[in-house]
This record gives sequence, structure tokens and C-alpha cells, in this order.
Amino acid sequence: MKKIFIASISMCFLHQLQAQDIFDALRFSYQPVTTGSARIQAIGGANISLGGDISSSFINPAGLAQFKTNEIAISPGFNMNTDKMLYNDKTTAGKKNKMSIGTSGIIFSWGSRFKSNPSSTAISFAINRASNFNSGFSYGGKNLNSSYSWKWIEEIDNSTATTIDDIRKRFPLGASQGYESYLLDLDANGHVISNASIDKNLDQQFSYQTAGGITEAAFAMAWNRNNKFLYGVTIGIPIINYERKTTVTEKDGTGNTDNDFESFIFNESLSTKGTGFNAKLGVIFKPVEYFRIGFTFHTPSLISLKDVASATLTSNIENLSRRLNNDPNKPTSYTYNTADINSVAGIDGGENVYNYQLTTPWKLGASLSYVFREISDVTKQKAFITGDVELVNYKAMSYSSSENVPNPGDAEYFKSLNTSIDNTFKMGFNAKIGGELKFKTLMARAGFNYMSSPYSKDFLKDSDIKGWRMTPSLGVGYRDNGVFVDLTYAHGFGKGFHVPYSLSSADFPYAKDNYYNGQITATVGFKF
Amino acid sequence: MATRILLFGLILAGFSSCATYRTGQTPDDVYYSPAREVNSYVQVDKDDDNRLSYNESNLEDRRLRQQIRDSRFRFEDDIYWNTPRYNSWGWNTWNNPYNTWGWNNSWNMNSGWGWNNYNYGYGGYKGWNSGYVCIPGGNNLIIISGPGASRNSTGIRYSAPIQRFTNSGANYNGKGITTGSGSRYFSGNSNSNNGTRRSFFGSGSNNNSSSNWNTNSSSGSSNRTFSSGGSSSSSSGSSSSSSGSNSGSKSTGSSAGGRRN
Repeated sequence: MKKIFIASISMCFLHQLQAQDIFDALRFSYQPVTTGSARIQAIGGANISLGGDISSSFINPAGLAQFKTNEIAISPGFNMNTDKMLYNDKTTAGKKNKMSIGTSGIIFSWGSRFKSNPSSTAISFAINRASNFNSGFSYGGKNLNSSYSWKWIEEIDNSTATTIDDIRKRFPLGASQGYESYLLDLDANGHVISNASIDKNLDQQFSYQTAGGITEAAFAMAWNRNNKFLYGVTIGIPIINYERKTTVTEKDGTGNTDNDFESFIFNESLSTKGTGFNAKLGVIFKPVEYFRIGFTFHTPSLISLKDVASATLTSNIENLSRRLNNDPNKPTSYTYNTADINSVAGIDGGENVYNYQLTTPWKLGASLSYVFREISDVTKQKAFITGDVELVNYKAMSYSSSENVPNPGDAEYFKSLNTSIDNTFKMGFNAKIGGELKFKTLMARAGFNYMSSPYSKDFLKDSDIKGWRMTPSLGVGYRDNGVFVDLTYAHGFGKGFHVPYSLSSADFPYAKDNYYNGQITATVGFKF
Repeated sequence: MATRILLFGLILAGFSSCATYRTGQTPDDVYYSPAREVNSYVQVDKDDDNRLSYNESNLEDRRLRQQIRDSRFRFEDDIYWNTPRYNSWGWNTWNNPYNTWGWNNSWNMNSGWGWNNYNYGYGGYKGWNSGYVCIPGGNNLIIISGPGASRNSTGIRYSAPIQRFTNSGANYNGKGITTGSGSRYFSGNSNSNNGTRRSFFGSGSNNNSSSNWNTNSSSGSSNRTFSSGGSSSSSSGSSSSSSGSNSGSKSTGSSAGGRRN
């Protein structure tokens, strides 16, 4: 574990009084190869210059202008996510599978058929699964450096809270429960301390279950001029649904049954939902037969998000309460949830709700395709190869208040968070290449997708985590009698990390995450 | 909900698709998307030699539309509609009548049909109303019948390029024109097609060019709208908002409520 990497993460989590952190921003901005129909996924997700697929609505709307027919398609998929967590030289694997609906929609087209001035227009209504958040994993081990409960102490330390009532009002997601259950206490000087101290040889276990994803609905319109110049625009509505359940368990590893700490179990539930909008612009040129050149620009998405969170803490503090209260009948274990804390603080409801806004990165793409051959007789259509490159400015991610006039505290909070984003992320680079061989009604495809690390060089330079993601893919297709069926398997893999909690005053753990994401996608469609 | 709408649309499209593309090729828009012509009477293929291609269904459609469009085409002699060359000709043969449609046939070129025959040129347009029949071509007008010809004489001649019947893109509804003899004139070979004529032109081969694309464009609009979800920008009163980055340990004031148990 390298110091600089840890320090960087610490900086990122410095202001986590609210639920948001920089990795949430990345989660809602990072879109792996799951974008696209089965055909496009099979060719690495490359479709900036190729066009002619419902996926063009989300990649380069100019590609819709390739259509002079009508089409409807639906893409059910099955996602298999595996996380192999390496923590304290111990590897644990977590798996989660989930069905979802991928890129689906309907395309209408019409146009002039004068040979001297061929032109056409196409529109599409489509939805796309831009990201899947389905995962489940756990890891744990001895930690001789810190306790999870210390993060609550830092939250209090970093706040302007001066009384216990302040803490109850401001921290109903752990810190308050810690205090109420005697896990956190006040020393003789009034300082907040934790009874889960490192001299208790702590055993930690972290478990996470996440679900949901980003579904984007889009209306796109595209125009074709002389079969040489195609251009289009998409108005997208990203819909975010993220669910996370966290369970943290810490136990006394000394075997001492009278040292004021036996264990605690912390359960947190977070739901993040939101809706935003964006635009995608694109052009495709066909300078000569067989070749297509495409360019696209995706504006940032401005997304309004709402966090709803609740937490429950059960602390076993052995005889601490009995001793402090001089009452042998006092329990040795206490459980408090957010509703309990809100009740004490005079706040209605059993959840903590917070609204804010997130701006995702913009994206710029360029592409070249070679299509052999661009003729109507499908028996003479033999193959294509296409490649895309994209720039994604992850540094442009930013948080902001949902209030027109944010209070100074929120403004300062988001400012510091955005500074952390600038220091942590960089301009990302994506490369996609794929091709197809066509045998009249049958097609075989292969592709490869590379996404560079979104993290800055400084952020990762002292770790062996590279941060990239690669996704090779294979697919087959059939098209005849007005029907087309495509089937694809894409296998994404990479190395990431997971941080269960961060501290600014002490070392904290992180686990290496070797992840594998298998995606089976089938697209069924009809021409009409 | 969106999935249900898509599934419903998928089923509808499935039925529609089966009807439209059951027999022909299914277009692959990634490679090439054929224009869905409202009046599918000439299908343009981006083929090797960039020539027009025809097939049987195009021919039938073409002759029916032409007949509806212009009463001059409602003649009984359907030789031209059914001659094999009409199904298989290309530009070269079309523009060069001497290759396969020559004067050097058994018909008498002096029977009143000729290139330079004034009566059948542009200036003779009125004459068509008295029985001249033409077939539109790329640049030429083929006169296949006229007042000078006997009923059972069906000479074939080219006129000068006096008129071109372009496919104007308008929708022709046959029901709108009721005069004339109707398409049944073209439906059979009951008129003066004699064996000589048939053998002269040979059987030809049908053009097996690509399928007919759907001519019913039906570019309907969708009623689908997207709601923007329920993410209001109002801030919750129970927000944990607070910030500041005060560092160091903190002495916390007295408890207002203390621990409850």
C-alpha cells in the first residue's frame, strides 16, 4: 500500500459529510461497452462512422440518417458481474447476475427518391442501458491501523458541530448512532473517541450489494444529403437508479470480554435516483465509396440527483453502559437507526434526504469505417471494419447544489469536492475497433474495446492499479425475411480498487478489485 | 413501461415485416439502405454498372400505373408490356434499338413507324389520343401502336426522345381515373400477339434484382414522451448538509438529550 495513493484517496474523501464523493461522480459518468445493440457490442461498441443501427441514437445520431427503412428492435441482455477482491493477501469472489433491457427502440425514415438529389430523414425513439451497477462482493481481515468508526469521528471533527444535538441533526447515518450506542464516547476532555481502538486487534468485514443502472431515453433526428453527408442530433434523458446496501462488521480480536468493545454491525442503505438531460451531435462523411468518416460530440449531462439514505448500528460494548450508568441491568448491546436519531433530533422521517446536481463529462469522438460493399443486393455485402477513438474529460465532472442560492456550507463543500475531482481524474481515452463478415443472411463479428484509466497519473503512480478496462467481444447475426437476430458475448475485465472508508488522520484499508463483466446481449428486430 | 411499449411495437412490426419482406431481401442499413419508393416503378440499384434494373413485379406495377395515369396506354395490345426484353434490358439495349429491336425484322419499317416520322414526334402528340401508344423509357418514347397501324399489326419503333415520363414521386391512385379500358388490357395476351413476335424477342430472363422495398412509407409519429422523473430540486429539511473542513480533534459540548438508554 503506497502512501501517495492512500493520501490521494484520503483527499478525495475528506469531505464526505454528505453521501456524495468523487467516485460516485465517476460511477455515474463511466459508461462501459454495454452501450449498444448486440451487433454494435460485438464490434467493440464502435459506431461513430458506421451508422445504420439503433445504437446510433446514443453514439452518433448521424448514423440514423443511414436508414431509409423503418425498424424496431429490442435487446434483452444478461449481465454477469464478478469481483475478485484481494485484501490482506486473501481473495474473495463475489458474483451477481442480472437481466436487463439494452439498446432498444424504433426508427422511422422517409425521404426524397429523386436520384439527382437523394435525401432522407430519420427519427428514432430509443432507450439504452448505459451502465449496470449490479454487483455483490465482500472482503475482510485484520486491521491494525484503524477502525471504521473513526470515520465518524472525523466527520464530527470536520464539521462545525459543537453540541451533541448538532451531531444528531447533522449525522444521522452513523456518527449519531455511534454516540447513542456507546461505541463513540467522550473522553475526560470532551473529545470524541471510539471504543473500537486499534489495540483491540480489530477484525473487519465489509459487504456490499449494489443494483440499478443508468437508463437513457433518447429522441434522435438525422438527415442524409446526397448520400454523402449525414448529420443528426439526439436529445437524451439519462435516468439514474442506484441502490447500495452496505454491511460493516468489526469485532474485538483480543478475546477480552471486558474491554468495552465486543463488536458492532453497521448497515447502511443508500438510494440515489435522478434524471437529467444531454445532447449528442454528430456528422458522417462518405467521401468515396466504401469509406465513412464520423465525428461526434456528447455534451455533459446535467443530472438532478436525490439521495435517500438510512443506517442502523448495533453496538456491543460489553459492560461499558452498566459501568457508566452504575446500573447492572443496562444492556450490553444497543441498536439505533436513522429514525431513532431523527426522533431525538426532532426531525420527522426515518431517512436522510439530500438533493444535489451532477454534471458528467463531455465526450468527443472520431471514427473511420470501411464498408465492403455499399450496395442494395445483400448477397454482395461482404464485410466492414470500423474503429472509433474518443476523448472523455473526466476532470469536467462536477457537483453543485440544487438550490438556486446554496447556503455557504454547501457551496464550500461542493467546491472542495470539485477540486478533488480535478486532482484525481484526467482526460480519458477510449479506442474501439470491430468488424463483421457477412455471408448473405449470416454474419460473424468480433471487436475490442479499450477504456483508459480515468484516474490521473499522480493518483495511481504509486499503486499497481492501472485503471483501464478492456472488453473483447464476439457475435453472430442472422437477417432475412424482414427479421434480424443478433447475439453477442462481451467480456470486460480490468483492475480497480474499493475503499470501504477513508481517513485523513490515519491509514485506512483498500481492496484491489479484479473485475470481470460478462454481457450476453440478444437483439431482435423487424424491418417494416 | 417502455419495455412493454417496445414489445407491443415489436409484435406489430413483426406482422408488418412478415408481410413486407417475406419474399424479398431484407435490407441491411449498415451497408446500404434502399429508398422505400412510394411509386415503386423503377428500382435503382447501386450496382456495378449503375444501371436501372427491373423485375416482374416492377413491370406489372409500372404498366398498371401508366395505364391509370394516361388513357393512351390503355390499349389492348400488350406486347410491349410482356416482351421479355422489357424485363431484362439494360441501358445499352435500351438506347440502341438496333441491337435487339431492329428494323431488320420481319416487320415493315415503312409501315408508318419511324424515327423521323413527324406524326409520331413531339409535334404529333395529339395523335396519341387517336390511338398511339407509347411506353416511357429513359430518353426515348416507344410507339407501339397508332392510327396507321392495323389492329393486328404491332410494329415496334422508337420515336425521337420527345417525352420522358419520370417518376415524379406523386402518388397515383388508380381509383381516381375511371376512363379508359382499365388495367385488364394488360393482364393477358389475348390480343394480337402472334407467335412470330414472341419468338422474335425470345423469352428473355427475368431480372432477379433485389427485392421490392416497402412502398408504404407510413412514417408515423410516435406519441411517446419522456417524463423527467421526480427529482425536484428542493432540499430536504433533514439534510445532513454541513461542511467546513475544520481539522483536529474537537471538544464537543454538553448533550442536550444524552443517550436514551
